[in-house]
Parts: sequence; C-alpha cells; structure tokens
Amino acid sequence: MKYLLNILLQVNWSNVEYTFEDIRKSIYTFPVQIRILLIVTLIFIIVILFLLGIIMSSRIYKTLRHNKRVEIRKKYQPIFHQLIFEEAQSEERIRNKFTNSDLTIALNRETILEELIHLHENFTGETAERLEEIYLALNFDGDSLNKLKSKKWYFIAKGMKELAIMNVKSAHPEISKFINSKNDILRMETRIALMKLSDFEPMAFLNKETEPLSDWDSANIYNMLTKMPEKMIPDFSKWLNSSNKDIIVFCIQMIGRFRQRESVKTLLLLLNNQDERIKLTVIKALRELGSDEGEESLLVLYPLSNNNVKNEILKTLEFIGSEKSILFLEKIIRQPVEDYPISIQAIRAMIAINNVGNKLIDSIFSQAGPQLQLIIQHARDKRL
Amino acid sequence: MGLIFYYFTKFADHFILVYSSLLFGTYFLLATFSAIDIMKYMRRNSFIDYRDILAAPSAPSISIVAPAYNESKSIVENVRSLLNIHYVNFEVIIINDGSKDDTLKLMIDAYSLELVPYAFEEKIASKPIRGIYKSTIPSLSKLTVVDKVNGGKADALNSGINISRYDLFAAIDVDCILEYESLLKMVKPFMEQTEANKVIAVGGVVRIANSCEVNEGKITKVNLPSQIIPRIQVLEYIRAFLLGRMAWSRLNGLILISGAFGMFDKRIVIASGGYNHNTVGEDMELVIRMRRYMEERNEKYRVVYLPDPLCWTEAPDNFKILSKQRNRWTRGTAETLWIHKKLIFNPKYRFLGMVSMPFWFLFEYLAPIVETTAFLYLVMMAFLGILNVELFVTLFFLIYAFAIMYSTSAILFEELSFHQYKKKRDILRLLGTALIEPIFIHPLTVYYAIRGNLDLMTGVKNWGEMKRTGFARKK
Repeated sequence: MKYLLNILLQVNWSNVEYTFEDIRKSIYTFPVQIRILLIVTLIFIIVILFLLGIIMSSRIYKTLRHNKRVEIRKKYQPIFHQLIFEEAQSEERIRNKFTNSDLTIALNRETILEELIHLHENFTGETAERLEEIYLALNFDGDSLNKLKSKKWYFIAKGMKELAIMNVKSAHPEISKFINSKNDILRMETRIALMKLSDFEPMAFLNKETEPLSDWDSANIYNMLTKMPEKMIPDFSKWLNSSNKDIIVFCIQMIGRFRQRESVKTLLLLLNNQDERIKLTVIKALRELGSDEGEESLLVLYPLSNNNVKNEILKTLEFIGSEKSILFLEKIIRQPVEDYPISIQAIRAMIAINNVGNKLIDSIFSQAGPQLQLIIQHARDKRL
Repeated sequence: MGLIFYYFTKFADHFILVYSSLLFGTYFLLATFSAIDIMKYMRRNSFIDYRDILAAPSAPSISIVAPAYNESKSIVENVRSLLNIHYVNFEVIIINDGSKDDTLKLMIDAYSLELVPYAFEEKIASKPIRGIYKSTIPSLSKLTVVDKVNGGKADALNSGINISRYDLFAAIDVDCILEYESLLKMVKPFMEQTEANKVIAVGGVVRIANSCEVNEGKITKVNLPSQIIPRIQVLEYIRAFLLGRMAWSRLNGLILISGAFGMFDKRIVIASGGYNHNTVGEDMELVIRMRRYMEERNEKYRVVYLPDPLCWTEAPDNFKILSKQRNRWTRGTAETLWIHKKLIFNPKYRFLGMVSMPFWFLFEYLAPIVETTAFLYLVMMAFLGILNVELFVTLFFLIYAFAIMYSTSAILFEELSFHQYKKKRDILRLLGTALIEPIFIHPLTVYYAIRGNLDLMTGVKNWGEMKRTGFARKK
C-alpha cells in the first residue's frame, strides 16, 4: 500500500490534461461517452433524492396513521364500551354516536373498522354479536362487499375476512365465487369464510374444489374445524371418491383426527391405492383411530412396500398390534439390519404388544450381536 | 509497441465501462425483482396467522442442528435459547466438535446429561462420535448433545444430520438468536410445496445484533450498532438479503443460504452427499450441490428465501475479525465455484448454469479482482501521465452515485417492509453510512477479498477464529 501511495505522490498532476475547473468549464466539449456518463450520474442523483423523498414520506405517513389510530381509539373507546356492554340500541342511535366526518373520511372509517375487527377477535358470544350489530349499523358490510368487487386479490381477501369475522351470512354466495381462484391465499380465505358462514354444510366447498390443497391449507382448515361445534363436523368419508387427490388425503387425515371410526372399512380399501401418499395417510389414520381391524391388512401390505411405508406400518403396529404380529415382527428383528429406523420401530412394536413381546426381546437381546443389542437398547430408551 | 499499448488502453477503458454497465444493470434488475417479491410477500403475509401451524398435527417435525466449538462463554445460554423456540415438534441437536475448552462439561452439568445407547446409521461420513447425551430431566427431552472428534463445521453438521430423527433439519450457528416465529415461518414453504414442485431449502434474513438489547436469549430492543464497522455491515446485510437473495429466490436461482440459519429437506441433503468438508464455503456449496442433484434428475424444485428478519447474529466489530471473515467468504466462494465449474455457462443446468453461476463468478467472485485491476491500471496511467481524467472522474462519480442509490433503495425496502430501525435518527445514520461506505470501507473489503484469493493460492484452509463478545453481556 505504501508503495502505491508513493507512486501516486510522485505523479505530476500538472501534466494531466484537465483540472477540475477545466472540466467544469468545458463540460459541453466533452466526448459523447463522458456526457452519457454524466447524464447517468445525474439520473442516479435524482433517483437518490426521489428514494429519500419516499423514505421520509413513508415515515410521515406511518406517524400520521399511528396518531390517527390512537386518536380514534381514544375517542371511540368509551363509545364502543358503552355499545358493547350496555343495552342494545337501534341502528340510528348507534350511528349518532359517531361523528359524521369520521364515517365519511376514508382513513377514519377504515380505522374504525379495523378497531371493530380487532375487538371482535378478542370477544365471543353476546359481546361479539353487539360488535356485529355496530358493524352493520355503520354500513361497513357495504364497504366489505365492495372490496369483493376489486380486481386486487388482497382487497377481496380483506373484504372476505371482514365479512366472515362479522358473520355476514348473506355474503355466502358472493364469497363462494372465489373457491377456485388461482390465488392460493384468496382460495384459503374463501374456504375459511365459507366455513364460518355456513349453518349446515361448512365443508360443502370440497365438492367444488378443483385446485390443489397443500399441507398448509389443510392445517388452516383443520384449525377452523377445531373451533366448530362437534355437530358441524361432517362425515369425511363422503369425499373419499373425489377426483382431487389432495381432498382424499385431507379427508383421510380428518377421519383420523376426528376419530370417525365408522369409516375404517373404507380406509382399509384405500390401502390398495397405488398412490403412496394416500397409502401413508391411511396407515397414519388407522393409528389415530386405534383400529385393530387394520392389523391383518397391514401385515399383508408390509412385504409389498418400500421402507417409508414399512416404517409407517410398524409405527401403527406399535399402537394396534396384537399377538398375531409377534412372529412377523420377530422375523424383521432377527434379519440382518438394513435400515435402523425399521429395526428400532419393529422392536418398539414388539415391546408394545404385551409381556410376550417384551420377553421375546429379552431373549433376542441375549443372543444378539453388538449392533442389534445397541438397537434394542436404543428402542427401549424412551428418551430416544 | 505504441500501437499495442494504444489498443490495450482502449480495450481497458471499454472493458471497465462494459463491466460496470453490466454490473449496474444486473443489480438494478435484482432490486426490481426484490421489490416485486417483497411487496407480494408482505401482502400474502398479512393474511397469515402463524399460530395456526402450532395447533396443526400436520406441522412437520424439525431437527435443529447446531455445531459448537469452544463456546464455553455462552453455550448454556445459547442452548436454553434454542430450547425455548416457539414450535411444537422439534429436537435440538448440539454437536460439540471436539472443543478444547469445557463446552461439553458445562452442558452436562447445566442440563443433567448422561450417555445414552444411540443406534444410528452413518449416512454421511463424518469424524468419530465419542458419545451421545440426553438429559435425565423429562422436560429437556428435546435436547440431544453429540460429542465428537474435531472435524470442522461441515463435519459437525453432517454428524448432526446422521443423528437427527426428522425429515427437515435447520442448520444454525449456536450463538445466533432466533426470532419468536422463525421456525413457523421457515416451515411454511415446505408445507406449501406440491408433489410437482418440491421445496428443497429455505433461508431467512440474517440481521446484525450488535448494540441490540438481549434478554434471556431474545432480542428485546433493536438498535442500530453504535460502532461504524457493524453499522456498515447492517447496510451490507440489508442490501445482500433484501435486494439480492430475495430477487434470486423469485427467479428460483438462489445458490446461497446463510450458514447462520437455513432449513433443508434432509432426504435431498443426504442424497447429495451432505456438507463438504473440503471448503470453508460449505453453506453455498451444499445449496449448489442440492440444486445440481435436482437438475440432473430433471426434478422440479425451489429454493425459497424469506425476507423476514428471522435470525440475529453478532457481526465483527473490528478490522482484524472483519478481514478474517471476508477472507474466508472469498475463499469459500472461489472453492465452491471451482468445485462446480462444470455448471458455469452449461445449458444443461438451465437457469442455474446459465444465470446464477455465471453471475456469482462474474459479479461476486471477480468483482474485487476487476476493481483492483482497474485501480492499478488507473495508477499506471496516472504514473505515465496519460490518465483520461474526464473518464476517471465521471466514472468515479457514477459508481459512487450508483453505490449510494443502491444502498438508499435497500434502506427504503427495509423502511417499507420490516421497519426494524424505528428511531428517526437511525435512518439518518444509515443514510450517512451509505455515503461513507463506498469510500472508506469498501476499498478495505476489496483488499480483504484479494488477500483471500492470495491465501487460497498459498493453500490456506482454516476458518479463521471469530472471536465474539457474546450477547449475554449486553443486557
């Protein structure tokens, strides 16, 4: 570095063709190449100023919005409190409690709506119903329905969410139009809204569903189902013939989770399905159902399966296996170890059967080599 | 001779111009793609309640794999922080990679660990394991500690993968602080994948925790670093993660997931051979090898990046450590590119071969070399008294303006998306940092990169010790 510095210091800068002052004066005499560079630099500077402007405006907007929210919250908190916890009032009297400008200025109106939604998320029962009345009295349902007409998916989803939270059942037909939307978030919001707004068949959308259903979607639908009264949970076996494979998988999962034991026979038929995902889901569901009638089918399926399916079968046998499985499991345990999880799982299934299984494992342990002994010790340690 | 020199200078002038224009153009495109993707992500995210996954029995189980080497100062705190992660189905595997200090003993004492008979198959080769420990306390059942012979970070991660029980694993630096919902967010792309389009890896934004307030392993207040070196790295990280990797993720061309925190499909990692012991850039090398594996099998796949700040790490706060870090990054990039040189401009590997790899070679690896060469060229021209001052001055201001514009865009993205630095002063300080970085710090990072290349040529292989102050002190 020092060497480079010395070179720079030795340069006779007076020999250089232009000084800074010359450059300034003769800017128009510069070659085209240089002028282009100068123009691009100028554009960059303008862009920097523009970006700075956006950063500052964003800060100001965020502060203003925050202040407005605080102001509205402060102003209407006592009114909301009064409307929620005191006697029910007519729509007109509700409306009169709000300043006209707050109901007409878009930002204020949106802030009031957000506050209502926020409150509704924290209440149930009569209090939630009161909030729904306020929502209707202030014609927010119109705002939400208008959002459904937007071309932007996030406005539609927002409107849908508001209508679902505020229990606007009349919006059901409008919302159901989006069930096969190409946008996955919109599809998800549609399903949730339809589930919330349906009185009789919350899962009717499964009849129309043609788009894929991911694990994420399933988790969301399941989450909604857990919040519903038991009588609303449908018999999921009616969708096991769906042309949409994702729906079949989802319904098998739900049969297991909601312990719909009457569907076991249908599930056993699906063990012969060519699709591995369906097969695996059925085996897991049989485990959740504690369905011992599946034991024999699983023993038949085992030799025809790959390691993934084998492992899942053994996990299920740990829960539903009986003495019928002992010989079968012993054979797996005694054969040379090919796959550690399978050997460990076979031992666990054997131990779970009853004392006979446990004693047999003791006997295998005493005859086993170090590898199998380690596997047996591993399988027996409940922490592993 | 004079004619040759004339053509050489003409060529050099044009090369500098063309290279700079290409670099600007590419960065501009990346920023545009990032803007689109972050906006899309933010909109989608506003409808998501991550708590729903917690209740879902279908939420995938995750193995968190964290190598530890001489971490006695903070290991107990760090393990506690990992055990407190907000998720249901997970295990934490700490690999003591032959620490010379009492890292293992501290963990044994703090978590009542004892040796267990653990049967596992070595699917990826790694140095011998001396013992596997589990806690005698039932509430610590998620914790497994592996004690092994020292083999480096990649080797430790491979051991962890061999031990792990679940199909997804998260590789994490043990001293990183994870955000409350980080695992929930990382697992979502895996839950959204379809059979036809697999997600093989997910990365998240790593942020700098220097000067942040930390309590019980959680970031309680985000502050902009008070020291200039970490503050410049804040800007670098925002640029790299929000502008760079997000865009590559959108284009499905991402080849680097930070070693600090990433989540992977274990099956693909094992099938690709696990982490490579022979490079210090094992994080990037793994992602490229996974992609290569999928490309060669003609399978559709995605490597996803999330713009959320998911993981906080301590950045070097002095030049000595910064130089070691940058030196290692350069060597890692060079080694990885060399290992996978077959992919560069190879149409068989589609976007990976024709865009991602060439970009990394031309604009990430070569950039410091081109910069240094151009600088030496200018010095030579000045020395000979034939420096084209107009071109030099205008080009300098153009590059300087571009650097500031790019950093300002990054600050804007941060402001509009995650808004981590809430004080007005912070934004002004970040903008100030953007002004000084290209002149004062960038030349140094270029110098460190050149040193990295020289070290690579002389056969330096080590990681370079990264001394950290530790978060626990900054309560």
